[in-house]
Amino acid sequence: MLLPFILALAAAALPEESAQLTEPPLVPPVITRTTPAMVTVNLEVIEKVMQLADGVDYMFWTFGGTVPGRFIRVREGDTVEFWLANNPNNKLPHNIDLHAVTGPGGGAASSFTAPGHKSKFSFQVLNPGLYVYHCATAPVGMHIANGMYGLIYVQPKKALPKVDHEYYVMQGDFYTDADFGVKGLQPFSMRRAIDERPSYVVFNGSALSLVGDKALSAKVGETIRLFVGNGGPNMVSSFHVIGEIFDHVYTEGGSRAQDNLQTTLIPAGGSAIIEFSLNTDGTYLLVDHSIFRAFNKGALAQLKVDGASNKAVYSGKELDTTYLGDESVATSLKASTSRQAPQAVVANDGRSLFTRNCSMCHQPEGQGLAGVFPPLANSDFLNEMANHRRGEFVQFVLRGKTGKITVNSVDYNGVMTPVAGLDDAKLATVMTWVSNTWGNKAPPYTESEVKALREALPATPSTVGGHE
Amino acid sequence: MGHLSAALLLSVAQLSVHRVSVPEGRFAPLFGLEAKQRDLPVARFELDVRPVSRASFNRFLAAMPVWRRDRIATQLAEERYLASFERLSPGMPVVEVSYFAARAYCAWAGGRLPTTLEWEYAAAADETRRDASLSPDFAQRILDWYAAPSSLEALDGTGSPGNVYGVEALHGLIWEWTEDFNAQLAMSDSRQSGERNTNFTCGGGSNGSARREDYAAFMRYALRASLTPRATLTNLGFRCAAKGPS
Amino acid sequence: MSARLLVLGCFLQTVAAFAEPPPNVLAMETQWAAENGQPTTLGAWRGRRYVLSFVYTSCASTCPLTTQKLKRLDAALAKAGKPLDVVVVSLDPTRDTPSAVAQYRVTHSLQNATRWHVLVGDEPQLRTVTMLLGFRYAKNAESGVILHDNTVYLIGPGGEVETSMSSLDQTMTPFVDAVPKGRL
Repeated sequence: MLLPFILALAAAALPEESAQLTEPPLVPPVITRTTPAMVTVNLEVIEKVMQLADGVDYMFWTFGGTVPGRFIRVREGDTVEFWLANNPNNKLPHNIDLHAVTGPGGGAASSFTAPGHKSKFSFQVLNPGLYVYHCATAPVGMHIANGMYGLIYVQPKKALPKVDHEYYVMQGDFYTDADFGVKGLQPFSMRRAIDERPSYVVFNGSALSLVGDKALSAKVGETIRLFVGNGGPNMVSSFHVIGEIFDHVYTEGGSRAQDNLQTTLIPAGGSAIIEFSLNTDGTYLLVDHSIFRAFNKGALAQLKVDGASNKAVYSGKELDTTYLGDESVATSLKASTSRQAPQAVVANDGRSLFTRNCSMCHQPEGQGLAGVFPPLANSDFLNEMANHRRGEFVQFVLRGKTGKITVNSVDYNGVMTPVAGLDDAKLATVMTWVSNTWGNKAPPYTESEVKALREALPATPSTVGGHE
Repeated sequence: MGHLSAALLLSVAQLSVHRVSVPEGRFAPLFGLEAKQRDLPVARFELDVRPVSRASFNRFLAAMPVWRRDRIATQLAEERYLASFERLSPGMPVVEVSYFAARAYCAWAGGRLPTTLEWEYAAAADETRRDASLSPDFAQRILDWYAAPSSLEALDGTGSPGNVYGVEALHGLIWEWTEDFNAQLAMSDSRQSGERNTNFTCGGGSNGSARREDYAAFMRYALRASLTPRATLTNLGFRCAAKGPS
Repeated sequence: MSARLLVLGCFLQTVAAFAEPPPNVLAMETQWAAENGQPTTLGAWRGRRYVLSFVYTSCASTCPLTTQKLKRLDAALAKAGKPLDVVVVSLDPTRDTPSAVAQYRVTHSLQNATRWHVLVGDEPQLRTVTMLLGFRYAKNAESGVILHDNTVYLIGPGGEVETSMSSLDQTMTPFVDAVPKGRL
C-alpha cells in the first residue's frame, strides 16, 4: 500500500507537461528545458478511410488519424505517462510497442486496448535516438500494413545543432489485391502481404502526401533535418534524395553520424536522422532507391527549394549536341592533339556562354522558335543593333526586353528575361560570338566597351525597341 | 391494424424457427490445444441463425427490467451500455451489450452463449464446406469487412450468407460474445499483474497458434482477449446457443 | 489556455481511471453447494471479510501450491489476530464430488480447518463468479486439464475485491497487511 504512494511522490517531484504531438510532415519544436520532466502523451487509435493514391481509398488504422502516426518528442531521462485510447467506432483492439521503451513488449501488453477503451502505462526514456513505434496486436503484420506506425524522438541531453527545418517522413508498404492505381476502396490483401509483394510503397501513407502543394519546402542556404522512419511491414528502404548528398546521417537513428552519404538503408522498424544543407534551388525527390518502388509504387516525395540558383554549384544544362559515336571520339582525339588557335578558344568560350545563358530560348543554333523566340541566326534585327545601336544590344542582354519587335519580317511580342551572372569580359565574349556566327557580322565587343555601355544604360529597363 | 398484428405474428414466427442444429465434429481452434493435440471434439449443439436483434432484446428488457440501461448495476456494464439502442432499427443486431447482459438474455430465452470453440467451429464453415477457414477466398471475404467503415447504418447489412449449417452473419456484420471469451489465455502461471494478454502482442501471436495464416481468427481472438465482461462495444453483439438433443 | 486544457485533460483521465468499479462477487447472485450438501450463496458472507480462491481437487500442478499458500495465509492471519474464513471454489463441478472434496481435506490435513469452506456449483455459476472477478480458466474437454489463473482474493464486506495476489508470489506480507484488525 505504501509503495504506490512513494512512487507517486517521486513522480510528483518532476515538472509535468503535456507532449505536443504533430501530424506528419511536421516535427514538434526542440525541447529547451535542461532537466527531466513527467510528460503525458495522449494518442488515439482511429480506423478511417483515406487516400492511398489518386482515387484509391484504403481503410487505414492510425495512431492519431494520420499515417504515420503523431510525432512524439521527449527528452532523454524524461518519464512518459502514455495514454492510448481506442476510438469507440473502431472494430479492433490495438496496442503500442514503442522501441524507445525499455521493458517487456515495449509497452504492448500494458497498452492492449479494446475499442471504446483507454489504457495507461509509464516508462522512462533511458536511451536517446529516433525510435519507431507500432501496433503489436495479432496479426501484427496486418496492423502495421494498415498504417499503424510512427516515430518517437528521444532528444539527447545535449540537443543536436539547430537547423532551419525539421521534417517527419516515414515509408510504408501496402498490400491490395488490385495493382497500383486501380481506383476505389481497396481492401488489405493477406496473400500479397505474406508473399511480400506490395502494390504500394509510399511515404507518409499516400503516394500524394508530399507532392505538389504538399511538398516539403525550404530555401537556398538553409539546413534541413529529416526524421525518417520505415514502418514496413516488409520492405527495407534504400532512402535517397535525388540531387542531394547527406552531410550527416545518424544511421538507424542512433547517436553517431556518418558524413557524406548518398543513400542510407532504413530497415523495417528502423529510422535515420538525415541532415543536409541546401546549396541551390530546385525540386529534389525523396525516393526509395529500390527504384521501381519510386516509379511504379508511389515511393516518391518532393522537397521544393526556393531561392537563387547557384550556378557554381550546379549550372543547369550547359550543352546538348549531337553525339556521333566513334566519329566524335575521333574528332575529339584529333582536337586534343592539335594545338588550338587563340581565336578557337574565344569561339569555344562564346559558344559555351551562349549555350549556358541564351540557347534555352534562342535554341542551340540560334534558330529561335517561330513566333515565340526570335532567331539570332541571320538576324537583321541583331545585325542592325550590333552594327549601329551597340548600346541597345547590351541593354537587351542585361535588362531584358518586353514589347513588340520585328525580326526578319516576323513580329515577336514576348518577354526576354535579363541575363544575370556574366561579367563584362564574358558579356563581350558571348555578344561578339553571337554577332559573328550564323551569318551575322559586326565589330567585336571589348570588355571596356561593354563596361562603358553598361554604365551608360538608363535607370529603368527599355520598353519598346525598334527605333531610337 | 391488421397489417401490424400480421407483422408481429410474422416476427414471432421468425423467432420460433431462428435456431438450427450444428452437428458434432472435431475442430482445431487457433488457440487452446495442448501439445500433440490436433483438434478437439465438439458435441452437437443448437445455434441461432442470426445475431439477437434489437427487437428481441427489447422484449427481454420489458420482461427483465433490471437489465435496462437506467437500472443496470455498474459492475455489469460500462457507461456505453445500450447507448445507441433507441437509434437501432428493430431488425438490426443489438450492440453495446455487455457479456453479463448477453448471457442473461440467453438464459431468459432458454439457452446460453455458445462457447468459443462452438462459435469458431460454426464460423469456419462457408456455403459449401464445413471448414473453409484456411481457404484464401473465404479468409479474404472476412478481412474485407475490416476495410469497410464502421457505422450504425452498416448494422443493417446481412453479413455472411447462410453456411452449410444454415447459420448466417457469423462474419461481416458484428463481433459476438462467447461464453468463455476470456479463457483462451488462461496460463498456469499467469499473474494478476495486468500483463495478461501477451499472447496477442507481436511475436507472441503466432507462437503456439495452430494456424498462423488464419488472420481472421487472429483478429477475433485478439478482440476477445481485449474485452472485459463489462465491455459495450459499438459493434459487439451476440447470438445464443443451446445444448443439442441427446 | 494550455494550462486549462491540461487540467481538463487530467480531470478526464481521472474519470476514466475511476470509471472501472472494483470487481464484486455479489454483483450477481450465484448458487453453490456447501460440503454438507446444503445450498448456499456467497451472499452468506455478506458483512464479513474473507479469502477466496479457486482450485480443483484432481489438479496436480499449481492447485496443491495454492492450497499450501492458503494454509500459510490462514495461519499468518490467525497469528496476527485477524483470522478470516477461507472460501475455496471448485473449478471442476463435474468431478469434484462430495467424496472428492472430503479426500481433498484429508490430503491437505484440513479435516479440522473449521474456517475453510469448499463450494461446488455448476458451470454457469462458476463462469459467472469468475467473470465478475476477471479470473480466467479453460477446460480442455478431451484431456480434462483445466488451465487457470492462480489468484487469491481478499473479499470485503460488500463483496468487493480489496486486494489480490498470485498464489505463486514469493511473499504474502502485503496481502496480510491489507487485512485490517477488527471484527469484520
